[in-house]
Amino acid sequence: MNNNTADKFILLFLRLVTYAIVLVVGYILFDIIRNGFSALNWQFVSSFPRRSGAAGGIFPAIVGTFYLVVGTIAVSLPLGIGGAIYLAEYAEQNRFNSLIRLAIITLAGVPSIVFGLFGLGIFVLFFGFGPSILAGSLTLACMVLPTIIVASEESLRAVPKGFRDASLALGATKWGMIRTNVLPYSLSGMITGAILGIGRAAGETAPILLTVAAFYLPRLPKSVFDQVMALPYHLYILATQHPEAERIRHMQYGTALILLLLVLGLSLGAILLRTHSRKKFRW
Amino acid sequence: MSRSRKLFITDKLMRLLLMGAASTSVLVVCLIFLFLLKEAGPFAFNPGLGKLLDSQWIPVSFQQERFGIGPLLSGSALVTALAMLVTVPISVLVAIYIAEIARPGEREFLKPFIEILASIPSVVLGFFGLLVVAPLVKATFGLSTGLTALTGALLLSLMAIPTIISLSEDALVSVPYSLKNASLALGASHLQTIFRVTLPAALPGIVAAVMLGIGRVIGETMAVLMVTGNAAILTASPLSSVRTMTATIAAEMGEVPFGSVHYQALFWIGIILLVITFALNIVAQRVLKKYGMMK
Amino acid sequence: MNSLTIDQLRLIYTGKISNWKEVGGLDNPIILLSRESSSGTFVFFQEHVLNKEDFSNSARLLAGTSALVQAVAADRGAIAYVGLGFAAEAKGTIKTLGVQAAGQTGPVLPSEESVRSGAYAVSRPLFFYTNGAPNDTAKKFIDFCLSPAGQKIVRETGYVPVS
Repeated sequence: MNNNTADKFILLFLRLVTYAIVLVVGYILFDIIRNGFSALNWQFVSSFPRRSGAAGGIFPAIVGTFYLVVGTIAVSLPLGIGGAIYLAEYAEQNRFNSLIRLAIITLAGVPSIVFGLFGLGIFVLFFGFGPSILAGSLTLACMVLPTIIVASEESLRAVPKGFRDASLALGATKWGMIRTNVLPYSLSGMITGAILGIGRAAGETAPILLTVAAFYLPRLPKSVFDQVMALPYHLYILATQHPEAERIRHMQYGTALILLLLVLGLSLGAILLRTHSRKKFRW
Repeated sequence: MSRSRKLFITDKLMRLLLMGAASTSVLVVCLIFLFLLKEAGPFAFNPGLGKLLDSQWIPVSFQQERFGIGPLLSGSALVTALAMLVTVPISVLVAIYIAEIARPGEREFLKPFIEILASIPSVVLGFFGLLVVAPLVKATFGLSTGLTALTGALLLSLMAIPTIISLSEDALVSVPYSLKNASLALGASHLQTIFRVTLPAALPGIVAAVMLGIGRVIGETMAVLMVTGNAAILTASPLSSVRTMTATIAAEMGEVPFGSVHYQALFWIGIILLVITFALNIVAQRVLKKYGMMK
Repeated sequence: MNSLTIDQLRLIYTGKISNWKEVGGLDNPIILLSRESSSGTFVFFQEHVLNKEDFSNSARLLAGTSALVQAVAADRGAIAYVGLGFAAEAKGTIKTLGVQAAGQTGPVLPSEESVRSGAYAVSRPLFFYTNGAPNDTAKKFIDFCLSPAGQKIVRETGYVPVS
């Protein structure tokens, strides 16, 4: 067998498969952009829905998603970064710390609907928050925590040991050293992790299904104990349960497009930030 | 108090605080198990866990409610198996291409695409599946409806592919240069090296990646809820409708009376999902650790 | 074919009849579509049409009535039970069947008159429930719904007004 021809063939096949995937991704984006573009106008993103979502806009859903994301980050970012600092800088190789790592891996693998059940059981029922932004954000925070911890820990470990040694040699305390010589350089990695976390929190439906989401609210939420509309849930209901589903395709696509733009924008931002900081900190 | 003493206390305090932050993960995991069991518990006494082994899932009935999770497990299993059949070959091949063959410029172009795929929300993919993939499946196979296990599997593979690609790529890249160079030095071509040396060496990492991918797929809710037809039947045909465990919870939880037997049964499904994904995770980690590829 | 008897509906939805030719249609398998078990419509259908029997296992349970309508419009040989308003909305794409109940001489198509008079068998009233006597706001809402202006909206969306 002629090795060269066989090799070229295999190479071609690999290339084909890879670019087939690229094409599929491209087509999905193309389909949603093409069909959703016509629905996008200022009115769509700034007005309230009318005729239960068949007309008007999706402003409250955008606001709701925004509130949920803010709540999620407010809880998970400090806990996540704190936990990452502990794991990267303080933790020895003992049983307790292995347990922590096991817990993080476990959390990362829990299905999103199980988070929804958990949120329902503890935040909505046990703590009595009822379906609310509070319950939804706390649930999403639990879901997003592993992402933030892992990304933050990676960025901390990327800081060269020399930075730490230099500071300690000059007499700094451990926390002082971390604060001045490690954190500033790992910041961009942590922000990347936070952005990835935000993206996930904004796009998930299952955890908010049981803890906060409503389809048609006449007013914006006034407190953290209110229910809220959210983009992913809005899309789901518009597409499967709305009486005029066939006729409001453009509303569905418009909602999908807004959600997609939000999530992709965040993804792209994270990617750019990562590339930029990689170039900036060449060590 | 002297300045150095203050700093010392601050330091100790920070360590405690940070350890507390890290421990919240452990706390949350314990709480998840606890609260799921709390809501599901009473089912074990009335009507008893054996009811979950029934062959049918008929939670609302004037005759006799049946809470057998068999059809649901089979639905999840079928959809997962089909998805993996599609995902694994594609992911491994693409990972090989990206890790070993693509030029650096090409890599910079391809990797964002994979990340974009990974960040598409599942409800958007489900929506796309409903409008594009389901009619496609229906037309291709001449079916009466496109809401099938196969449609769900195709969407799930779109979700699992990025996960498995990036983990497999990591595994391939961490194969030591010495192995690759030795093979090349002995006269093997680049491709021969890839398939006979690098790939086998990276196999544990790839296996772990596949297990994590399976976990991801089993746990997926929205996309399957929208396109699999949600029929609770035991079947092995990819072209029939099935009902997954996740979709069952999402669909039925909304209107079930709090605290009812049906409600508890749904929480039991949640527990089973949790245990399955937990087990997959553990095994994957064991595999990675055993072959020294822990990240 | 344009109609079914209640008995036929029951046999179809409990899985005992599985091909359209058995009820006078073409030789095509029947695709059973239904609401999720969490739906009131599901329970109503189960109680009044299926005579409390269980739905067939092969019934595909879709998330909402709109999903049912879309599926019936797109799939060959599909049947589903939907609210009148939804069916009116989708008039061009789906066919509404007449239903012949026991003791009736012929099939009855759903319309405002046939539902009001009780001739169309698969119909049910919708109720408002309040905890005790309705409070001020609730009373205003209920009064509006029952007023001529409210009932006009009911008719416009394809449902049957009460008064």
